[in-house]
Amino acid sequence: MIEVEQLEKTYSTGRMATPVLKGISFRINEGEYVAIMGTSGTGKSTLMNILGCLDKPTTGRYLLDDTDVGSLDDDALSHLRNKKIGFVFQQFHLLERSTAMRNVTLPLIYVDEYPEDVEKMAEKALAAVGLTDRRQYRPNELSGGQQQRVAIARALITDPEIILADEPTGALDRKSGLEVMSIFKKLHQQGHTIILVTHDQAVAEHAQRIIVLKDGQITEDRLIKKQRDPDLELGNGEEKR
Amino acid sequence: MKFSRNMALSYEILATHKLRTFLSMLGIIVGVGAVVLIVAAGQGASKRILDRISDMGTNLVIVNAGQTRIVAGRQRQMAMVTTLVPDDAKAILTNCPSVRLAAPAINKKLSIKFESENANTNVVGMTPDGFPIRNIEVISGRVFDTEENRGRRRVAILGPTVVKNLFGTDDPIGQNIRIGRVPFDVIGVTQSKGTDANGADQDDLIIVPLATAMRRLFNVTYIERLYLQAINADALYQAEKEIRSILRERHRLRGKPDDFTIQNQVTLLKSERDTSQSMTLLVGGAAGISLLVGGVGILAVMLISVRERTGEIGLRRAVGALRRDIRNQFLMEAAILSCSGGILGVLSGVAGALILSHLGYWETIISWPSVWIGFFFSTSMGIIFGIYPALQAARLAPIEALRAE
Ligand SMILES: Nc1ncnc2c1ncn2[C@@H]1O[C@H](COP(=O)(O)OP(=O)(O)O)[C@@H](O)[C@H]1O
Ligand SMILES: [Mg+2]
Repeated sequence: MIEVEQLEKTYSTGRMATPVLKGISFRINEGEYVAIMGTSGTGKSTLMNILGCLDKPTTGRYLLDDTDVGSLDDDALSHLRNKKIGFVFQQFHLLERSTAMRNVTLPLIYVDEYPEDVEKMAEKALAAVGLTDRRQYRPNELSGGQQQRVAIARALITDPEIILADEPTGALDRKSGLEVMSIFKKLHQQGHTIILVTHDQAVAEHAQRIIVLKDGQITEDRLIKKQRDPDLELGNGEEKR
Repeated sequence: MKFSRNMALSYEILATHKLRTFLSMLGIIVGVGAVVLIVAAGQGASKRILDRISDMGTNLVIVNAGQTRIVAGRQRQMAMVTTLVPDDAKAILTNCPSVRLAAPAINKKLSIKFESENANTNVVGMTPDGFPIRNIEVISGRVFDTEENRGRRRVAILGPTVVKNLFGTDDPIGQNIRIGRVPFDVIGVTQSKGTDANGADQDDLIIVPLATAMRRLFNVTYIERLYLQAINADALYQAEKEIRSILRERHRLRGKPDDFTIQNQVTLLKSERDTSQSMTLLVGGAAGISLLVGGVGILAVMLISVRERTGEIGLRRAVGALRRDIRNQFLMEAAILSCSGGILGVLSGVAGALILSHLGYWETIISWPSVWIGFFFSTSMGIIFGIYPALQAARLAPIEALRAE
């Protein structure tokens, strides 16, 4: 469960102070599928970095499963990220020179107890994103959509409670984007909490709930009546061709 | 533990940047290779010197007339001294119980001639005992004897170089040569001794009876040198003492400094060994400095690597790497670099030494301590110079690092 109260974030560069988040409060329960939406520059990524324990708010409180994240030191934050959070970035952030397999197992380097069946875990994660046959491919041998799916498999390998995706379809074509959304849908069904950051209303509508951000504040927080189904759309798309 | 998990990945990263990896190791390779090679060459030179010194004779004590001083690696007499005479040898033999054999000697460069062939060579006048004392073997013909010495016979024993210069491949025994204007019969040829520690040809000499040389060639009554053999190796210093006391008495030196210089094989050995060792140390040290430069090479490459891989660092932090994991990873990569550089350096040094020996340019002896020292020094160099880049990498804030890409 994620609970934030009066989060504020101000970047100070030199003498300039830029307030980006101005008092954000919400609660996301386990298993929810939430889209954080807003135009570019409204502070979505800033919020997401805080939720992902990559950055700390200037003021305000962040409770992650009843842990006050603000009180944790750098090492504890690293542990937390490793254990509970899977990241998916717009630009994939894969190790260019390493195979899909190695990219996927990267988070396992940093777990406390190194599992014995690393290979199996990686295969399972790659299977979950439909890339079983691309295990030994390197990023430059994969399409953008496939690269993003490798990144999702990497986020999955530690079986994290929360998956944070910052514009995951931003660099993809429509079809690849839908494939990625289809994977998120499946993960959501399996019980993961998914937080999707996007500037695109259409993408946001795949979620159950939308939090709209504007100028560093929440202007809307609503449930979506009619969720889009990526599988249906993919099916349609294929029939049309 | 996380080390080993990361090993394959680090290796992959280094392997994909082959040229850069190689360049960063180059300094270390050259440094370690140079240390190993130079020490091997130094040890080879050392051994050669020791061999030459033992070639000089057995339980040898040398008395030189006058005070001598080492100039440009050679012993020089500082002033002309005429006080050392053949009778000193006889007196030493009768009065010094630690001395078994004594051979007075004198030498000078003279022109020699056979038929139309001319040469300049070192002519040594020596009594027959000089041969065993100095380990000079005559391989063909014969040695002159005491009778021939006393009779001032004009007989000569040639070194191999002289034979080559005057006779080519012909047999010199029984031929008649001229030393200066004096005709001599060649009666023997010595075994080759090669060059001495200073690189001088030891085979370019003619040995004639001492009395013949003093009277017929040089026209002097004094000698330059006494070659003496102590009764055993332990008696060298005792022999020196006895010889000094007898010579001082015979030369009436009460209250005056010695007019001769005594050396024995052990002191010669020691001083030669010291020189060659300090030489090795010096050059080895210079090579060590190049290792330091190698470390700086690693520093530069690691700094570039940290900058270039900022995104990767951010990603690793995002998926759970601690600061110290990042630090250790870069340290490990520096260690892998310097360690492999060290191994390659050792291999190239050893290969160089073997090739040098094999081609016969220079005898080399691989010194395992130098191999270990070179290797460990290079590895620690890499780790030490890897610390700063590693700390820089660890210091990066995760979001800043992620944003960098
Ligand atoms: N490290 C930073 N230093 C200063 N300003 C920043 C920094 N990161 C983001 N900002 C500013 O904060 C604002 C919000 O950025 P961001 O959270 O990336 O927005 P979004 O993801 O919604 O497009 C932008 O105006 C951006 O310029
Ligand atoms: Mg953004």
